[in-house]
Amino acid sequence: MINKIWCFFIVIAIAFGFLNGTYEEVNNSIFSSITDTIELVITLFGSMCFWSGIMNIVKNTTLINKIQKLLSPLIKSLFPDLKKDTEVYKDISMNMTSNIIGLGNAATPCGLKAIEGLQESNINKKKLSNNMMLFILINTASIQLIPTTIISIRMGLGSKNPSGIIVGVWFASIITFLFIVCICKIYFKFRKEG
Amino acid sequence: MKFIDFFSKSAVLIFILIVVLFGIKEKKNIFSLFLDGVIEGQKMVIELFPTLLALIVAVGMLNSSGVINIISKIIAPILNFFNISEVLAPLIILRPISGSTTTAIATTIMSEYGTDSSIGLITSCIMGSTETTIYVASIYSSKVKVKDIKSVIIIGLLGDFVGILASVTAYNIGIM
Repeated sequence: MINKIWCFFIVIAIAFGFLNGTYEEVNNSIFSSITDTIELVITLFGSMCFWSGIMNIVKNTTLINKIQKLLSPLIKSLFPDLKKDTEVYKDISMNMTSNIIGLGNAATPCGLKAIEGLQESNINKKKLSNNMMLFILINTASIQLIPTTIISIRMGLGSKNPSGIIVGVWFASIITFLFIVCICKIYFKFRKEG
Repeated sequence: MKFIDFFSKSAVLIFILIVVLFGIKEKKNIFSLFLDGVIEGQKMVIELFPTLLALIVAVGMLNSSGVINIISKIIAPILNFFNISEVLAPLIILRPISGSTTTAIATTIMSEYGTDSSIGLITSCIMGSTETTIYVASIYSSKVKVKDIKSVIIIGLLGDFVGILASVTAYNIGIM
C-alpha cells in the first residue's frame, strides 16, 4: 500500500510540476524537505526517547495492573460472552492497556494474539465474528492517556503550549469510541453471525 | 475553561509524578528502567527515520507542485459544509491509510499555519484522536485470513469522520 502511495506521490508531483509550471518549486522542495525531516527527527528524538523511558517504568511497576483492573468493567461490558482468566481476555486487556498508555509497539503483538484467540471460537472462519469486529474497531479508535507523538511534534515546531491539546484529544477520542461501540451494537442486532 | 487549561498543562506532570511514586513505592530502580526505555526509544526513532524521510520529501514535492491545492478545492464544498477547513483535505483523505504519511502532512500543515492556530490545534487533535483505520483493519484481518472486511472498514471510517468532527467541535467549544 505505502509503496503505491509513495510512487504515486512522486510521479504526480513531477508530472504536475511540469504541466503546471511549478517544476522549480518541486525541485527546491526536495532539498528543503530533507532539512525539514532532519529537524523533525532531531526534535522527535529527544521527546520520543523520554516518553519511551517513562512508559518503560509504567510497564515494570504494578501501575500497569492497576490500569488493567480499571479497564476490566469496560472490557466485560464490551465483550459480555468472554470469560475472565482466559488467554483471549488477557490479550485483549493487555492490548487495550498498552494502547491507552501509548505503547503502540506492545499493543500490536497482544492484539494479534487476541484476534487469533477470538478466531478459535468463531463459527465461520471466513467471516469476522461480532467480537472480532468490535475488537478491531476498538483498535481503530485511538484512546490515549497522553498523546505523546503529537505533543512531541508540536514541541518540535515551537508550540507555546505543546500539551494544550490533551483535553481536546480525550474528548474527540471518547466520542469516536462511543460512536463506534454504539454503531457496532446496533449493527450486531441485525447481523447474522456465522 | 480555566480548569481545562490547568488540566491540560498539568496532566503530563501528574502522570509522571504518579509513575515515579509508584516506582519508589515498589522499590524499583526507576533510573535504570527509564534508561532502558530510552534505549528502546532510540531504536524506534532510528527505525522511523527512513519512512519519514521518504514521505516528507514526497509530500513536500506534492505540496509545491500545486496538486494538493486542486484536490483541496474539489472537496472543499463537502468539508465546508461540516465547518472543516479545506487545508485539512489531504490529511483527512490519507489518515485512514498511512500513519507516517499523515505525520508528514500534519507537520507540513502545522509549520505553515502555526501549531497554536485553529488549524494547527485541530490538526493535532485529529492526529491524536484517530487511527490508521484501513491499515489496522487489514493487519488484524489478514492475521486470521479473513478477506471480507467491508463492514469493519465502513464503520471505522465513519468513526474517523466522527473523530474529525469532534476535533473541530473541541476547538469550537474552547477545550483546547
